[in-house]
Amino acid sequence: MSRLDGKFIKPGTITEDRLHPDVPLGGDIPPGTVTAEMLAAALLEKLLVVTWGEVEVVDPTTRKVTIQLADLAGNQVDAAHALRVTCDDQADLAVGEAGTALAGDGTEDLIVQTDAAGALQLVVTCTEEVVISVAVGPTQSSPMLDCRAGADVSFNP
Amino acid sequence: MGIADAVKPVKTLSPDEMGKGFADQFAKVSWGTPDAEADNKITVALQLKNALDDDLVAVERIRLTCTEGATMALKAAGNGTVLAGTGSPDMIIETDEVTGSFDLEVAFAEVGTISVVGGATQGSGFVGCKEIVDLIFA
Repeated sequence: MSRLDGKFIKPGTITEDRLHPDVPLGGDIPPGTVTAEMLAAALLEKLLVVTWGEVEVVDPTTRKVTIQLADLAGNQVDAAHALRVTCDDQADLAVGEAGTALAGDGTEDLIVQTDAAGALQLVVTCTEEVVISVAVGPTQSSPMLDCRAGADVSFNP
Repeated sequence: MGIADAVKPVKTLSPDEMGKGFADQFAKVSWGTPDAEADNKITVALQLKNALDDDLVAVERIRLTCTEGATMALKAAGNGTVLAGTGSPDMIIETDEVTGSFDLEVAFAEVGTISVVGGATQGSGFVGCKEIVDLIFA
């Protein structure tokens, strides 16, 4: 080791958690120009965004919808993470073919874990002809999550 | 690129280099100066800021809780929306879409200091809520 170790960049020494290769080295980034897309994947995947798929009608009282974790740049994140999912108390929530229910399966307040691909299939049941709002939020052991997007699940005929 | 560029230290990203769109992904709760107490009530404005500490115009869902004994509500004709819990010490609110603010009114009929704190809840984005406001009822 010399006193210069770590001071200079050598080819192949930049670790994957540094900025994206498009970001110039050495302090030449103009103010206000860095976007989420310029972050390296290892950093992006620490900032997760909850996204929703299309609602699927199973039968008059059952709907399915898939939640997918993405990063700030919109890329799918393949990782299992804990989420809290809640909805109006007229409906019940359960986990379908993707993900795992950790608590509250079959209730309006569900603690879940996405599968290894970052996906969760949600089964919503309701006997009323109403629109059910479903929201996601962080819970114990959740990562940094952007849960601003919710889903409105219609049971109207 | 000259040799000087090649030997510079690895760049560390500073907040000023964040683009506004990127900085706006990260909200934080800030509090204004509380108004004077009137009729056992104090109003104070919550304002969202982004990662650059600029005012953030966005709808953000936040859970507000306060010291037991006090109750919270939206100030009359104030900015923002209460989603649940008005008139209680535990409220879910949305900031105003035009200003990114919420005008909070806290009622307390005794003498003492009421602390109000925000937190992420269902439907929140990336929101930091480290800043607490203390309201002194005399």
